[in-house]
Amino acid sequence: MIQTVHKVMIIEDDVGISSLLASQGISMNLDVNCANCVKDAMDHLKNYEPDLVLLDLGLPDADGKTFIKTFRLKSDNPILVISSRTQESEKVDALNAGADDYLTKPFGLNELKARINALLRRHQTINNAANLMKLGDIEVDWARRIITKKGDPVNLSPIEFEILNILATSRGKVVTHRNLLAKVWGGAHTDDHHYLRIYMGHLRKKLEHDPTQPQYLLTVAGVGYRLEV
Amino acid sequence: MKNQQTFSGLLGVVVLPIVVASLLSFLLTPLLGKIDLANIVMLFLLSTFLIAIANGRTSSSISAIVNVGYFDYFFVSPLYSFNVDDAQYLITFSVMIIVGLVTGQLVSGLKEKVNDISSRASIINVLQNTSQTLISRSTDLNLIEESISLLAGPLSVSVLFYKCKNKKELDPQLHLHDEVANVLFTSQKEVFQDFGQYQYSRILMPILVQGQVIGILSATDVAKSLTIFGRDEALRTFSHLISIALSQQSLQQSAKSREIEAEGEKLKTAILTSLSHDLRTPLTTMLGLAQVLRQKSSSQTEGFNTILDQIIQQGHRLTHKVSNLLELVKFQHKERTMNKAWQPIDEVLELSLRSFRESHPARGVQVSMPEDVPAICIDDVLMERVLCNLLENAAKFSDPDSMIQIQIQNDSRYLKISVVDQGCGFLSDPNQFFQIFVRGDSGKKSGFGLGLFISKTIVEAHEGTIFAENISPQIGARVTISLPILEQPNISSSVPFIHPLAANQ
Repeated sequence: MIQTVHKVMIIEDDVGISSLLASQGISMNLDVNCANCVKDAMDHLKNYEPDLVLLDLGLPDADGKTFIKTFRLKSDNPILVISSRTQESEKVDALNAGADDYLTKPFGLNELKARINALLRRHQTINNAANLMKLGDIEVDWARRIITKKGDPVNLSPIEFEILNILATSRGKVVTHRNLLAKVWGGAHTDDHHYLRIYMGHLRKKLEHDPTQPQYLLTVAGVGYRLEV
Repeated sequence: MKNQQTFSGLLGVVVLPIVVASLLSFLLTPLLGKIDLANIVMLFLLSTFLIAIANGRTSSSISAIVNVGYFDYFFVSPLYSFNVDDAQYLITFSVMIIVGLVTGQLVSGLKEKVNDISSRASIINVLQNTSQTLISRSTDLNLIEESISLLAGPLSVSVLFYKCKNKKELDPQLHLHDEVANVLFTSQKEVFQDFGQYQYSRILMPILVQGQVIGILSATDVAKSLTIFGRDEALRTFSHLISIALSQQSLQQSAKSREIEAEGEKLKTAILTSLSHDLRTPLTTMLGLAQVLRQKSSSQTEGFNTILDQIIQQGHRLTHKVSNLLELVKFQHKERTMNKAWQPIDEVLELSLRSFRESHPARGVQVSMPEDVPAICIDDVLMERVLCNLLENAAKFSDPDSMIQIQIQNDSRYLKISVVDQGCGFLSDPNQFFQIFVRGDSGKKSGFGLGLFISKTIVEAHEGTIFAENISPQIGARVTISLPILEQPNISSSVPFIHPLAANQ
């Protein structure tokens, strides 16, 4: 199999951060294209089809959300939002507008790499649902609905199993509370966060070694959850 | 002057009938015998009628009597004597007197009515003008004074406005009894006072704006009664007009101030957003570049790596402080709304420990928690900040090798989260550090003194309490957050669970 070089477009007005992101992209053997505003990015898109977009929300000429909506009209490729906005609603808005994940400034380089890899990998294998998942000493057999931890079977309730399943489908990527609630409980319960949080607590108790310092089922403050791999 | 006028008026009232009767007699005497006596009587009655119109009741009554005298003297035989030959003339005389008196009465009554109506009409005119002025100039601050001057002249009363919101502010010039003041301010009703012995009366009316008395309108009239020509009605209407105009004015003002406030809020949000952006962007670059160097420097000397690690850790701490500052500003400007949700305590612990790890990757933290901790209703992002602040403090004021403990305990009413360190403890009263900009160990360690203050603000917004103590001198400090345990939400029964397999089909 020939390893294709992924194309990444970086849309960021701050030169320092832009070059930092570009240098990380190059060190990950990615093809990098930089734009400093939404208009610039639109021009580049005419003859550059990125596999991944790194997008700053606070751009000089337009809100990054405008870009997300326009980009989504022609491409399903992942968008990673990089934002200094700390208001959780901003992040959720960007995710609802069509972004796939986000990083808050300042971010760690390892975190950046992990997000980029997760988004590129997930995009590659989106229709290639694996029947087996391994998380450290946890093994999940999706087809037979069997979960073991260190070889011992773990009993999950149907809701817990479904939550785990949804997170695993988007593994490495944040899934919003709203999204999870809609998928598990149906559209009428998208604001009943406590259902989710409490089932999530159960799931952690069963799977994690230390529920207060989980390794796999991570909380994303004010936004949702992420299955770390 | 006034007496002279009354005197000359009185003279006219008495003299005119005599003059008219004399003139009539002088003109008619030569015609006696050519004109029938009945017609002469008619002419005398006509004169009484005309006098009634010209001079009013008193004059017409005098005219009736004088006319009878002249008629008897000059026209009834025996002539030039008050004697009467034919007794039936007595009927004529009485008819003349009665008709004269009744006509006078009727005419003058009619005149008074006309007077009254025209006065009322002019008052209505004045009111109309005043109301137009009030409405068109409802933003004018001198509204009341100007409208009073418009009204007082035509109404011929003296009107004064006293600005006062309650009894205590009453102008002593008003000389009001307590009961009267009570009626004005408590019942918010008008008061009419008639001081007969001093020959004047006054009306006091409370002016209301949105149900609140803002002042008293006092209308005083000397001698005449305020109730004639509907002047009291006019004043009442006037006071209502002022109330309406003032209410309109205050509504306009509050609408305007709301607009200004909204603009201010927008500006604040814009400043906060850009501040957050401007502070974080350079931090991100610095931290990122330091990490790039750290990745590439694995072969470099150990000392070099230590310096880079320090840069990275300090960068994270700076980020933490910037976040604290921004959170505080947002909280104090009500920019940040609480986003509470039911959840197990685990998630908050997870988030704060992960954030703490960024600036203190090697620090040991131990969590102890009972099996079944009830769920709490909190804003997780804010509570994470609180725990993070407590952990940062614990790390700052204790030995880097010592363990930090997080202890969770609960009884039926409170969930208690304690952060315990093994440092030197608080050197002075621990709970003073919850005030803004009060720092422990002045000068030696970095810090704004914001951490505990914002923690307290957040905890109190959750109806909880925060308490600091020294475990015992020199062996550590403990800060405890108590959050009320509320009735737990019902979950399992109310959720229509869609089975994943059914949902997929």
